[in-house]
Amino acid sequence: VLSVGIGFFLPLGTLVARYLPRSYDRQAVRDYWAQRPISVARRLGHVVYELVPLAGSYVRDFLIVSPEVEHAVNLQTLHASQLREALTNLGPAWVKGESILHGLSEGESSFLVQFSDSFSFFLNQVDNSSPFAPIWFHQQC
Amino acid sequence: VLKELQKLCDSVRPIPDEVALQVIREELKEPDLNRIFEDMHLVAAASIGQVYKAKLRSTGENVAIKVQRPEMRKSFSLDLFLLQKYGDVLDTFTSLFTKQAPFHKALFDNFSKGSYSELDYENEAKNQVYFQKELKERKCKVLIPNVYQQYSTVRVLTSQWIEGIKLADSPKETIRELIPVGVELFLIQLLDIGAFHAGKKLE
Repeated sequence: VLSVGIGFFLPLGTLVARYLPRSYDRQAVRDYWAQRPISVARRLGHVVYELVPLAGSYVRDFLIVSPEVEHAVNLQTLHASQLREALTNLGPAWVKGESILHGLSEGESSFLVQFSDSFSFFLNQVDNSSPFAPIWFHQQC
Repeated sequence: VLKELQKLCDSVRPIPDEVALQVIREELKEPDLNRIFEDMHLVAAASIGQVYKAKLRSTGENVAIKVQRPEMRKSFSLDLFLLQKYGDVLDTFTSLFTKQAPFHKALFDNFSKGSYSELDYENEAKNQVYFQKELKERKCKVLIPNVYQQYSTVRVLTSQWIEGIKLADSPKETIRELIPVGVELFLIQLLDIGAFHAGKKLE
């Protein structure tokens, strides 16, 4: 908030920040938005409006009141659903951010799980006397 | 919790067709899109953009037109700016109250750099062409859609339309068949090409 305030009253070095860069540049993004404190404050207000009640209810449900195990599962699902709703309301950037952090989609996860489960066993003892042992081992890998 | 969050990508509301088509008109500098495309209709909406399916009037080929939401760079960069500020606060807190070296600034910058670059569809088109060429040379069994450069800009990407189904909706047998293809693809990228495309759709 302080830096936004300073950016509003003393936009030194940020007077030319009229356009956003095509590729990410921390300083350029900072300069651009430091000149637009009202937009920043409004956005910050929106983020707080969406996420603070959610964080509050999470603290209440899981840290202050310790729920029963069965109830906790339902509560977690409810909180996840509310989080999804909040992120959707916050806009595409948040959805994108979450999907990057989330990392793997369900399909990709199942793909990798099946991949790791799909290896066939190799014998407990490899017959080193056999000249084909290294070839056999190579084929199994 | 993950199942709920998985629905996020599907829960993004599409922007009205008129707004999206206006972006395409502006980007392609063509006031009448019917001169280029026919039978244009929305097929999917994602976080950054939405996709239309259409037929090229000139060749009759089906294409996928990905169009970015308006003001996306602005809204995205504003959220990244807030993330920067949040990172600064966390780093100050970390260096004041813990013995841990501050790392949030570097972490958030890395995240910002990666996600911000996704707003440049020309860059995406360039990557698509690059991987198409590299994988074709190595005879990898993966189909990369052609890019129609003349109809692609920073906010519009026109590619060849390929029918497919989501990996999540595929039967287990299909996933099992795709395992060697996926492994080969990842290894070729990591060990041979030296560049990795993280947005593969194994369909």
